[in-house]
Amino acid sequence: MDPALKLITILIIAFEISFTQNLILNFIIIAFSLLILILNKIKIKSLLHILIIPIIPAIGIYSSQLINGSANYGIILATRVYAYVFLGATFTKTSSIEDLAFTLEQNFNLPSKFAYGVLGAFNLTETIKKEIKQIKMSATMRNLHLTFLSPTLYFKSIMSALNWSNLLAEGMTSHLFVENNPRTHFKIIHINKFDYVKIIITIVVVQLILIAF
Amino acid sequence: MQKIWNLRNIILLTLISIICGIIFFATGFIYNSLSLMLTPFGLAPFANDILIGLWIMAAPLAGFIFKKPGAAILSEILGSIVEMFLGGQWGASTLISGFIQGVASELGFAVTKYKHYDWIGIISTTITTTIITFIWDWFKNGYSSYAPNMLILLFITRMLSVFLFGGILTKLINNMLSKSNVIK
Amino acid sequence: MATLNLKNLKFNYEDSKFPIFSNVSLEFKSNTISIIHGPSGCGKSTLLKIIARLYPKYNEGVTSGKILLNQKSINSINEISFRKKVAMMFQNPNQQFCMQNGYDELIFTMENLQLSKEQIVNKIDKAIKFGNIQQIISHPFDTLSGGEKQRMALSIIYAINPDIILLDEPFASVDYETRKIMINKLHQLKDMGKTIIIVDHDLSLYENIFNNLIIYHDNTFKSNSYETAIRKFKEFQLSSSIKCSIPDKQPIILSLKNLSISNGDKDLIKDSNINFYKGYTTLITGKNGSGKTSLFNTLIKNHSFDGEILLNQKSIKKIRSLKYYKKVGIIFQESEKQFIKLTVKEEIKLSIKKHNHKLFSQTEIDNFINSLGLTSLLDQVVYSLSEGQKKKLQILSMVIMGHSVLLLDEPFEGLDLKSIKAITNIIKLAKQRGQTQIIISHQRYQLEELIDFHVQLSNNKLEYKESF
Repeated sequence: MDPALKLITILIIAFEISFTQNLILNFIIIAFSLLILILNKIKIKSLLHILIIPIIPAIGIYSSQLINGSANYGIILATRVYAYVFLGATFTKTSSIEDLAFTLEQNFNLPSKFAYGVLGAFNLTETIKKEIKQIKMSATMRNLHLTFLSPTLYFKSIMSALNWSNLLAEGMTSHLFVENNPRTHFKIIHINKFDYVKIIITIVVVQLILIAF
Repeated sequence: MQKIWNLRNIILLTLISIICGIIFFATGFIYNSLSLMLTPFGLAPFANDILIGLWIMAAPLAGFIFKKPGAAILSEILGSIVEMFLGGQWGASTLISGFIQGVASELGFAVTKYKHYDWIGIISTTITTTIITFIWDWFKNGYSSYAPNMLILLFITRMLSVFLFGGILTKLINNMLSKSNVIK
Repeated sequence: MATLNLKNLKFNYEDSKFPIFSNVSLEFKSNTISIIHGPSGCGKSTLLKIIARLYPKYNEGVTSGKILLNQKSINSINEISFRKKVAMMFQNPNQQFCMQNGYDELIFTMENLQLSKEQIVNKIDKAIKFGNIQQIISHPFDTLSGGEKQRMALSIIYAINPDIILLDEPFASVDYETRKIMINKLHQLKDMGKTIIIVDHDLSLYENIFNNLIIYHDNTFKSNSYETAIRKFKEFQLSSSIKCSIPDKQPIILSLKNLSISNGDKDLIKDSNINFYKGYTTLITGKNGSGKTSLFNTLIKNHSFDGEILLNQKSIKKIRSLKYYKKVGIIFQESEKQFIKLTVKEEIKLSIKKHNHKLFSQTEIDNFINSLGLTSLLDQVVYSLSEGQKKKLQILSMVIMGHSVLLLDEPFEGLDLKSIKAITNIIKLAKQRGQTQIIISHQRYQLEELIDFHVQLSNNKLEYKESF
C-alpha cells in the first residue's frame, strides 16, 4: 500500500479512537496490527520492544483511572496506548521514511526541498547524536555537567545544527539539487486504485465496529 | 513564506526538532521513573504534565529562532515524523500530538501577530499551548473523568512546565543565540 | 572543456573591515590540476566555495571582483546549468550525502540532472567502474571509513561529469593507500579534459601530478613559476629531523596493551603495545588518515577498541566517565567545540573556578592572557574571534583545568610563530608542574624544546623513534 495513504489511514483511526471509548475496537486494532506485523515478518526483538515500551504509560494511566476516575475507562485508555503504538508500528515497520518522502513528492505535490531536506536531516541523526555527546563531554572535562535543563546544552547543539544545516545544504546543492527545479524520478511511485478501496473499507469497518459495539 | 523556508532552513528546523527529541529521549528514564513512582497513587498523569514542557519545546524554540509564521507548527510536524521513525513511546499518536502541539504553540505567536519574541510572546504561547494540549488530553488520556481538584492541579502543573521549558529555557537559549550573533 | 578566470576577487565578512583576501586574479585551464596551498584559516576553502557559488549564499560575506567561466560571469549562468559544469568535493565526507547510501545518493544526483531511468542505470554502472565502488555502494554511509566515503563522492562527481572539479582538503580523513588511488583517479579526470582545483595544506603526493601551484601570501593567492613550485614541494618534504630520546624506565601513566582500533572495516592500529610516561610530552606522528585522531578518540573513551588501556594501572573501561574526564582532557582540533561560555572572560573564569588541579597562580594566568594577546578581547564573544584567537583561548582554558593527562590534537594549526612560542611556554610550564602531554602535530617549528619522546604510527603499529 502507498506509504502516504497508509499513514493517512492510521492517522484517521488514531484520531477516532482518541475521541471514542470502545474497548473492542482497541483490541481489534491491536490484533489486526499484530497480524500485519507478523505477515511482514517482524523480528521478535522489535515485537518485544513495542510490547514493552508502552507498559509504564499504560499501567500509569490505568491506575490513575482506577483510583481517580473509572476502572472501565482505565482499561480503554490502557489498551488505547497499545493501539497507538501498534498502529504506528504497522506504518514504521512496513515503510521507510524514503518511500514516504518519495510518494509525498511525486503524488501529493510536496515541494522536493521539504522531502529531501527532511530526509537529509534525518540521515544526520547519528552525527547530531555524536555532536551532543561531544558537547557533554567537553563540558564534563571542564567539570560542568550539562543536563536537559541547561540552556548551554541546547545552545551548543543548535550552533552545531546551524553549522550542519549549512554544510548539508552546500553538499546537496553541489549534487545539483536546486530548489523548485524539475527532477526526474528513478523509482516512480504510482498509487494503485485498489489502495483507495482498502482505505475506504478499513474506515467503514472501523465505523461499523463503533456502531455495533 | 516561500523565501524563509529554503532548503537550509528546512534542514535546520528539522535538526532543531531532532536535537530536542534526542535530549528528550535521553531523559526517558526520568519520565519512566517519575511515572512508576506516581502510579501506585494513581497520579501517573502528573509525570506527563510535569515533563510536557520538554516535550513541546521544539515549537517555541523554533518560533523564537526563525521569528516567522509557520516555524512552530512545522518544527512539531517534521519533528514528530522523524520521532516516529526513530521509535518513540507513543506510536501513531506522536503525529497527532505533534500536530496539535504545533498548532497550539503557533497560535500563541499568531495572536501576537508574530511581533512579540519577548515575554509577551512567551506568555501568549504558554497559554495557548497549555489550554489546547490540555483539551487534547481531556479526550486522549481520559482527563475528562478526573475530579475538578485533580484537574486544576494538572492544569497548573502543565502550565508551569510549559512556562519553564517552552518559556524560560527557550528564552535563555534564545538570549545566548542572539548574544553570539548567530540569530537576529 | 572550460576555463575559469578570477579577476580581482575580494572577500570579507559583513561585520569586518578587513578582507579575508583581496586582489586574487588567477586562471585555471582545462586539462590541468592546480593546487592552492596555504596555512589553515587563510581563506582557501572560502575561495573555493566562492568559485562554487556556495558563498555568499551559505555564509554572511561580501565578495567583489569577477569570476568568469568561459569568459562569462558565473552569476549570469542559470543555477542548474552552472551546477552541471562545476562540482565540488568537501573536506567533511558526511556533508555531501543526504541519502543513506551511495546508490541512493547517485540516483538522487542523477534525478537532479533530470536523466531518465535508463540513463541513470547506465551512469551508475560507469560510476561504479570508475571509482571501483561495487563493494561499498549499497552500504550505509555510517558504516564506511572516511576514505570510502570520499571515493564514493568522487565517483558521484564523475557521474555528474562537470567541466570543473573543486576539491576542498579532499584527503583529510583518507588513509595513505586510498589517497594514492584517488590521486590516480584525479589524473584520469584531468586527461579527460577537466579543470581540477585542489585546496590543501599538505603538499605531499601532489608533486607528480600538479600543473599549477598557487600559494597564499600577503592576503592574496598567487600562481608560482614551475621552479618555485618544485622548490616548495622539496621544502615541504625536507624537514631536518630532530633528535630525541627513547624512554627508559620512567614511571608509566598510560599503558596500551594489545590495542586494536578500526574505522569502519579498515584497521588503523593492530595489536599494538605502548606506554606513555608521567610528566613527559610525547609527540605522535603518522601519515594523514593513519589513525592518530582515532587513537585520541579511543583515549577519551569515544571510539571502541580491542585490547586494554590502563590509566595508572586501572583499566579505563572500569573508570566512570565523570571521574575519567577529571584525569584525562583533550584539546580538540576544532576550537569552537571546546567553548562552553559566551565571552573570552567567562571562558577563562570557568576554568579557573572549576580546575581539577591548580597549576598556575592568578598572576601567571594574567600573564598568559597578555602574552597570547587576549587582553583586549576579554569581553568579546568567543564565536566572533578569528581562528587563531579561538585556538589560543581554547588551549589556555584547557591547560588551566590541570588534567593529569592532556591530549593535544594539532594545537598549533593556524597560529603565527609568536603565538606558537607563547603557547609552548604555557604547555611547558604545565609539564614542569606534573602534567603528562600527548601531542599530534604536523607543525614542527618550536617543537624541539617541548617534545621529549616521539611515537610513530605506521603500518598499524605504534613505536618509539629516536628523532622526529
